[in-house]
Amino acid sequence: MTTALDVPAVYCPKHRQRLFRQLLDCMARPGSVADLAAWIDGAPAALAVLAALCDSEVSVADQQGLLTDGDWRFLESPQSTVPAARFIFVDGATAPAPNFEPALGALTTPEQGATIVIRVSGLGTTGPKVRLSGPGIASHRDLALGTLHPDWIERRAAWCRFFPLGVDLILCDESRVAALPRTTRVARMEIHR
Amino acid sequence: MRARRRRKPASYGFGFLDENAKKELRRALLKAVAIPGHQVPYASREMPIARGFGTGGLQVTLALLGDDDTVKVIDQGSDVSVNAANLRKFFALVCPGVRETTRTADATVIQTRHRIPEQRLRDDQILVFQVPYPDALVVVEPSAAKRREMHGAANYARLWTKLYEDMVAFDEITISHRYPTRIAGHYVIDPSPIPRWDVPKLNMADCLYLFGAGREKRIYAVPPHTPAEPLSFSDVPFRVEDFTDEHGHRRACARCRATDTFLDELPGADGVKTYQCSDIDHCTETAKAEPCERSSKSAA
Ligand SMILES: [Zn+2]
Repeated sequence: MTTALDVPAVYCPKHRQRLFRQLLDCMARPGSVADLAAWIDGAPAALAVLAALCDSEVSVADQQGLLTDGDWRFLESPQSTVPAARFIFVDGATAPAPNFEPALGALTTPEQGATIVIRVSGLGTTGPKVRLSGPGIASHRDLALGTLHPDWIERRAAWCRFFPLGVDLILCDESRVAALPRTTRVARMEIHR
Repeated sequence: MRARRRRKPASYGFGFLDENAKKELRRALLKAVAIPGHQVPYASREMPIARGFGTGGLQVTLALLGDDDTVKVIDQGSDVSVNAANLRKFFALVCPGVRETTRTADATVIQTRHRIPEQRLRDDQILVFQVPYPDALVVVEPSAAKRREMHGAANYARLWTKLYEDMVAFDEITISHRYPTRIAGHYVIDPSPIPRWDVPKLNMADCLYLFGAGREKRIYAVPPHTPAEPLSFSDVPFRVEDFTDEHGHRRACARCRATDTFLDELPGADGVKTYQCSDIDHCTETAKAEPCERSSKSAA
């Protein structure tokens, strides 16, 4: 018999609610970094994001096989290809393949643009810094992208070129998350080592 | 096995809605924030109140609340109306741990019908609007499919024409509530039946604004620090309600003496109208604070 103890913390309703509120705050304030450690019991932040938002009604693409069989069983989401997926989970340390084309939505249904959950390390602390502006940001906000491959930012700019079409990114390291909705303007800053 | 396992009490867990319903609402909320002003569709669930009594706002609030929240409900500025009090009790009942409050400053989530609190909301507060009619284009285009195309292309020419015709006919824009407001330079929203007085509060706010329309099954948002411009013409600028009396003085609240709030007109016993803050909590707080303010003013 399955007991509550067998269910990882990120799938518990109470934790999902806390995770969602953190994500909502991140999406409303692009580039602000939230630490989810208190609610994920050591699980990767990226898995917590998927656990908070996905169920059998939304498809998830995981080309690199980052999710385990156990993760899929708890998520209950149908697996999908990148262009058809509502949520896409990737490792951001490598550049997106040239044929990596997420859904951007349509003029009448921009909400069908994909949410891309990108795993990196050192979010907010290491790596190249970008300067963000746009809705949710009073003047500007700086964010260190960790190990995110720079191609992601270039490809994102192309995907988000024709608002309201676009994709929304959720960057995740071990326990922290930050969001880059499609409205956020991203400018490169000098690279500090 | 002798006894069947009882069905999971999923449909009446914390927050009344089942987990899948909440997740769908939460996905829609994130997209609404990511695409400011866009009406994101969702599957509205049956709620224990009749549609048209704020089911959209109710569902949004239930998808938000956790047991560490403090919730406030206002109906036209009042915490004590039957609707507001019932909704607040409902939240406390179905979300064990959630605290009820009437004080704006103490609330983390505020559900509202027809007003935005006078007190500027903070970045740790969320205001949830109950929306009866979510689409500002409904006055010029009956087809929902066509309206969606117009919104996507930010094609508001016909709405501008309608406003212009109003202006020519009445010398000013006559819309008193639901004033069409452009968000982040693209989508025009119906900000729900708030007075014009409240519209400027949507612009570059610190808090997050969420809008739920239960009948039309739409959610939209105005994120913090986002431009929200009421549609207007350079020669007929947008104006909030005027509370100047016949002698040219700004009317004051009869209860707290404030001269910087949205006032409700109340018929007096002797036929003389009196005016009182529509935001009851703000009025109460101002009435409490007034003696100090008065002494500090006289000292200055
Ligand atoms: Zn007053």
